[in-house]
Amino acid sequence: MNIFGDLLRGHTDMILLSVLEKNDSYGYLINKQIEKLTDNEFSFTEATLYTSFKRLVQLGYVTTYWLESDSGKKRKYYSITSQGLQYLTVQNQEWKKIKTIIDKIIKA
Amino acid sequence: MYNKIKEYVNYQLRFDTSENNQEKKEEIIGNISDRYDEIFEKNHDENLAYVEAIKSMGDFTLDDKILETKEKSYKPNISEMFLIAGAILSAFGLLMIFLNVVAGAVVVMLSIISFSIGASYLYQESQYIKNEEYDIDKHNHYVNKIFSYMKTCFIFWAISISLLLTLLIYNLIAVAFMASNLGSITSIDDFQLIFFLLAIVFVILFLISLLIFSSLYKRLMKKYYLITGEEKLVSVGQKIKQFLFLESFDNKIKLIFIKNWFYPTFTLIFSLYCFVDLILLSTGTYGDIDRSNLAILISEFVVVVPTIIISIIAITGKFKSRFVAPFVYLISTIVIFILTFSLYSMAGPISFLSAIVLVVFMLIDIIVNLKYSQQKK
Repeated sequence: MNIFGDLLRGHTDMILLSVLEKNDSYGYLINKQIEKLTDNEFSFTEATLYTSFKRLVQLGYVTTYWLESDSGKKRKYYSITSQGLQYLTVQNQEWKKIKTIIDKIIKA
Repeated sequence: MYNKIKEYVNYQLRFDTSENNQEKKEEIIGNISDRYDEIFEKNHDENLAYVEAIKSMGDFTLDDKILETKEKSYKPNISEMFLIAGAILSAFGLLMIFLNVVAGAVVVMLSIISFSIGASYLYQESQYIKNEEYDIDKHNHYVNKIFSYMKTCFIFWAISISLLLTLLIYNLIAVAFMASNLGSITSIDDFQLIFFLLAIVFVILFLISLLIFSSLYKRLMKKYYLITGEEKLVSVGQKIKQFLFLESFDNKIKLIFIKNWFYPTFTLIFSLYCFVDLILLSTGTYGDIDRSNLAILISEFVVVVPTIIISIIAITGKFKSRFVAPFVYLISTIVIFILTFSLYSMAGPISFLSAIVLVVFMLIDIIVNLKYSQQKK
């Protein structure tokens, strides 16, 4: 489980940007979406999530804004930028390449 | 429960110095609260929901902006109390020997018993954890506790046992003198020679016991390496030092020592005590001493009064160096000690002892401050 988790954490930026590609979201909801997509097999801690988003904001791939929900809770939303989308495209291409290479090795 | 989550997050991020730390806390509290609501809705168990929600927070100490060092935490084991008691009693026993030899010996013995019970129980516990629970981290943590307390105890035991052995030999010599009808040892004219010989015996015994303890310690360290695979071991004393001076050496602690009034004020208090004691001595409170005794007069007005004046000038800030006063005081106490040696005054030895403590304290302060300034660079 640790190796599995570490492998996924190595691709944190790509995972987070992929979730944001669909629509803007906030920390808890992003994690919920990841849990749902992975059948509750994986989620990030607040610490990982926060530091990753901090880095993505600094790199200009993501922007933030605050919104108040119907229940009155203030939430920090993350939104992917055009730069972020370009970066995600490159990351997706690289991932596909790596996957093909590893598949070739394993299946050989 | 929201406040409990808020308190926890605020506590965990109490050292966070980042610019937007309030916003950061608000965001994390919001996310954890949402997580809490979700788990509570499923289980209807407040405590479970709280613990699970808090677990999702993760470790923020990995963030480079946070200064806290993460400590390993395990539920305290009852046998650790015996280790702590053993270490405290080992230090206390050494002090007791100076006051009462028998009581000191009993305390040292209690310290060894307490440490042995704690160590053997904790060792068994660590073996059980290794073999049954397969938790090597916890096993190493317990073994580390045993050896780090042992390191501190060893130092005090080595000194205490050498002292006790020396006193035992002294008593044996005294009994031998009395048995051979040479009279009490204290009536011998050449008392200084006996004292000198005993001092040599003490040093020899002390070195022998140190060698025994250090070889025993080396063997145990090899065992420690074999058990845990770790080479370095920090004693409890060193941990306390690190806790007080290095790792948590923030500006608040530094300011206590660096205050300009600190050393001159203590010098003034000690000098005033010394002056009062000398006055009592000269007024005959302690017995029939000549009121115009030259030694007392010199001690009072040539030595103590100038020290008091220097201390006051230093406190007022007119005299810049705060380190001069304790040294002046140390020199003056040596002079008083010599001058009043034959008068059985406590002013000499007590003031000399206080001066030594003050100067040692100041030297530690200087070393710590130098280390701090080097760290800052």
